[in-house]
Amino acid sequence: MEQLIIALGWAGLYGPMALGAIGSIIGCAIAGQAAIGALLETETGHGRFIGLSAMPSSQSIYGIVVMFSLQRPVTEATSAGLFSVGLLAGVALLLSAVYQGSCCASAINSAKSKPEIFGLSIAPAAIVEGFGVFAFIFALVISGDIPMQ
Amino acid sequence: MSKRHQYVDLLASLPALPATPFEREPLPISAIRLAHRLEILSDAHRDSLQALEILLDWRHLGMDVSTEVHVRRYRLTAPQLVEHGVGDLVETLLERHTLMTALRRRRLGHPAPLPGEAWGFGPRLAHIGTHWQASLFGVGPVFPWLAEAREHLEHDRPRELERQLFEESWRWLGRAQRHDRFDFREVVIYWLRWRLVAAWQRYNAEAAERRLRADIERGLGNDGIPFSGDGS
Repeated sequence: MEQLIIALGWAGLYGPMALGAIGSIIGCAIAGQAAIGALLETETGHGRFIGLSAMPSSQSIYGIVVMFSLQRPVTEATSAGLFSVGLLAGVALLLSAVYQGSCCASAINSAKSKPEIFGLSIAPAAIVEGFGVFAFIFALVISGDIPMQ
Repeated sequence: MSKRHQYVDLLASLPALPATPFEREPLPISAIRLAHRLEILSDAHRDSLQALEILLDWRHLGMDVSTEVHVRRYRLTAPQLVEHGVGDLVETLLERHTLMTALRRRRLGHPAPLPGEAWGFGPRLAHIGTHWQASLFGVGPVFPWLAEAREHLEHDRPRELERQLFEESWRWLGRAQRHDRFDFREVVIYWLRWRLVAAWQRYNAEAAERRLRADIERGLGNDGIPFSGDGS
């Protein structure tokens, strides 16, 4: 039982990083494919499509920062907190990256034929990013309450 | 990658279609380029698209293809189309053809189809047969466009009728779109809408050519058409 608790603690410690990265992989792949498709139909503005497709990569960075903020000896006393905060923050980051990728793909798909809406079309992706930032910030705040030993 | 985003690159590479199929602008993408882009589809999806074309395109509905054969074709391919999430699209379009067939048959004085006769598509075949003499076959509330279509048909307004059917199909396909999915269904919806734009432009081109030829013939009288190669 003790070993299981310790394992869960480690999972919680590495969880935000791994889940954030998985989300970024999926999100960037979705948006990246849309950007590549849009390159075939547009003469200009290629850079901003590729730039937009990289937007879901921020969740990986948030995951890394949360992981470092959670970093402490994994013991029976700390495992429960590490697991809960790490896993939930990771899931939130994963979902926000995937759905942000979807929003970016839709934005690219719309803006390719109507470039003047490019700025506005990013708004939904930015809102999704906002929720990812909430999960990130409050994971940092709450991690301060997990015992250090 | 999930099926949900299976064709995100393909759909992003297709130009936006006009707001209605009746615009005067040239086709946003030619048939050859569209066919080239659609080569990215998986083998199974390409088969489904081909099956859809055979079911919906009038070129595959020659006089030698009986209704029974056509219905049998549909029944053979329906499970595959349903599996790929486009069964409802083709069923609705074929049911629309069926309703137009019913209006035309009744106008020609044909009796109601016999029970069990394979004369159309959709779950309301028996109902339409039973209500053959009702003005809208008892399905008017389900198909609000049917009353106007009947008016056009009865007053010999084929162009208005065609335009109304195009408009209805265009609107319905627009409602069926789900812009966040980027899957095979979205590809099929794009393809169906592109076909509507292309068909309307073809009608216009054919009508313009007919008008031009008629004007030339009227203007030249018996002198024939210049450059026709007949030496006149």
